[in-house]
Amino acid sequence: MVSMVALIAVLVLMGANQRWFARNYVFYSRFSTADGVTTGMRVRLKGFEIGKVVKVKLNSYNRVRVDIAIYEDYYDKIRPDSVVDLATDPLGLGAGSLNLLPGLNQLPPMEEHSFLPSTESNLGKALMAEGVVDKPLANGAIAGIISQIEPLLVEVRGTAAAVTHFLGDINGAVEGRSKNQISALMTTIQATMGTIESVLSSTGANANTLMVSGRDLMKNLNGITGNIDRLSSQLQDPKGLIPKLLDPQGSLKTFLDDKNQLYNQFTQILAQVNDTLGQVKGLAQYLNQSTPMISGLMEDTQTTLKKTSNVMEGLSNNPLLRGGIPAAKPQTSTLQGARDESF
Amino acid sequence: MNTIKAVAVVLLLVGAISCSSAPPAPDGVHDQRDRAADLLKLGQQSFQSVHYQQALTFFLSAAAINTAVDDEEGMAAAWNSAATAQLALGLRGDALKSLKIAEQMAKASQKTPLILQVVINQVQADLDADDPQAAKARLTPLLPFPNTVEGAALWHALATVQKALGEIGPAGISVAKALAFHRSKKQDQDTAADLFLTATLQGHQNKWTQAKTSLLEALALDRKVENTMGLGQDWRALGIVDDHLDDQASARQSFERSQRIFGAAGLKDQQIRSLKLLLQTVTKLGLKDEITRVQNLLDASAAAP
Repeated sequence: MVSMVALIAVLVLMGANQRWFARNYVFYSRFSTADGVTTGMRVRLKGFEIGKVVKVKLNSYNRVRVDIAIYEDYYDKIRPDSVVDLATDPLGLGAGSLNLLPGLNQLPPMEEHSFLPSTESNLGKALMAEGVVDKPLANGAIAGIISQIEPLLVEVRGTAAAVTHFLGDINGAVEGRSKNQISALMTTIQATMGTIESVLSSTGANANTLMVSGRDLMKNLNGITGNIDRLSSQLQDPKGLIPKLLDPQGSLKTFLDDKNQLYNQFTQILAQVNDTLGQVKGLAQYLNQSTPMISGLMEDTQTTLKKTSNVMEGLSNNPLLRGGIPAAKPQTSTLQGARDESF
Repeated sequence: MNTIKAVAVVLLLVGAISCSSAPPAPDGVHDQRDRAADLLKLGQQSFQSVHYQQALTFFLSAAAINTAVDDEEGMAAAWNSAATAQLALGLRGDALKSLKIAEQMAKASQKTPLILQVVINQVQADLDADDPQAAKARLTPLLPFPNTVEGAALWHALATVQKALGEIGPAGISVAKALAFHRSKKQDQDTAADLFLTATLQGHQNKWTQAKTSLLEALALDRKVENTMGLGQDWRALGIVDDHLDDQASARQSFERSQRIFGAAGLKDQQIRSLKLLLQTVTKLGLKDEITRVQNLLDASAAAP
């Protein structure tokens, strides 16, 4: 009985958390393309999630109709002259969002199922131009900051492509034939290792070239990491980059008034970029420590084995299988000696 | 929506069951040790394929990782393995240093199997240095050997030592113990090694027909486990036995196959040994064209870097 009550309580709490019992208000907008718009996409207002995209549909005029459900708590923000703006994440990290730009008036909220023009539409552009839309200036500042990051990102992507190219052949060998069998994977790796060894031993120049390539890569990555670190520290300095980029009419205040939501999100993205770079940097350092291609292969091997291990651990942790956390792998000695051929 | 809620309820129940019966959290992490174990396995596969330099690289990498996480058992296994590759590469000095570290770590770990594993390779190093007395002195205090993998390897090692000391009878008894264990555990490669040693002992006793039978069985097992080095040695030994059986035609075929295997594996020294035996055989057979061909092969192999 107690369990049943607890279960119901959990269900109610879960339902409340998931807004099963909440009232949503549906509006719709139109876009020229569905690129970047997906069902379930968040609708934000100054960083707060105020609703979600519930339907994306191509209408009879080949325009994309997007139905938006606004949470009850934020319904009063949907004032006349509000527009929606599709914000794709220029960093390419995570999904974008639809930003609601509310009308600058104190009129009652619009009726449910009303049309919300998008910023790309003529009506949306006109409303923006008339200045009747609350367009946060901070957004412009963020766009400015982001525009500074863009060149760095191009460099990051270029470097990532170089790393990918560098490891490409080995990746193919490792990933293409594993078929979830460690032994098959090992055989493949071994064959690849043999090839690499013969290449490296056949000419010292190759190895030297690879080493130089690895060092160049490291230098490049260090440069990028340094740039982003500097930018990040500038962002965190209230007397640094932000005041220069933000509007002097109090945009910084706007930026911070939302309990640092936008700012935190932004620095979080930067942290993610830094993390990614750290990983690439670590790989590059390892590449430099030994013969580069062999090191690359080792890293791939480790990743593939780790993935396999994780899958197996997940399976064994499944309560239906009643397994457990795997123990450390045994390390066994090699005991093969040469056979004595004397008769 | 109702369906979604129903699914959510089911998921909730499954989640509740999972939480109540999930296994305990691990006592620690072993990512690095697992990685070292993977490297050891890669090294053993390289060793099996007679890529000794490559195997050594893997073993030394494993040793470095185990050292970094202060894993005594791992260090012992890695350094012990490194010693086998170093011995195969003729790096005796390095092998002795590796074995020294392996011995220290094995003793520190207080794991008997590990200590015995190191002894097995130390015996190999002694034999490599033509010092069977030292090897015997190392093995005798450990008698009787346990009925384990290490014990069987020790019986095999003792048989090799006894053979080197001319104690053919006792060697036969020792290798029979190793063979019985390896057969019972279906350890094909070790069984093949025991059969090979048995064949050489039978040769010492002029039991050439029995020796051939033993070698043919070893050959079948080495094929089964793709033991390149073993296959080359089996064929060469068969050639020697055929020669003693005065079957020069078979001996020629055996030496030919042996030199081909070693050539394909890039083991020039071994290939040259087989080619020299082949040259003797074709000379006995009076095959002029073959003599020229084999001599050319020998010259090419000797000239190769």
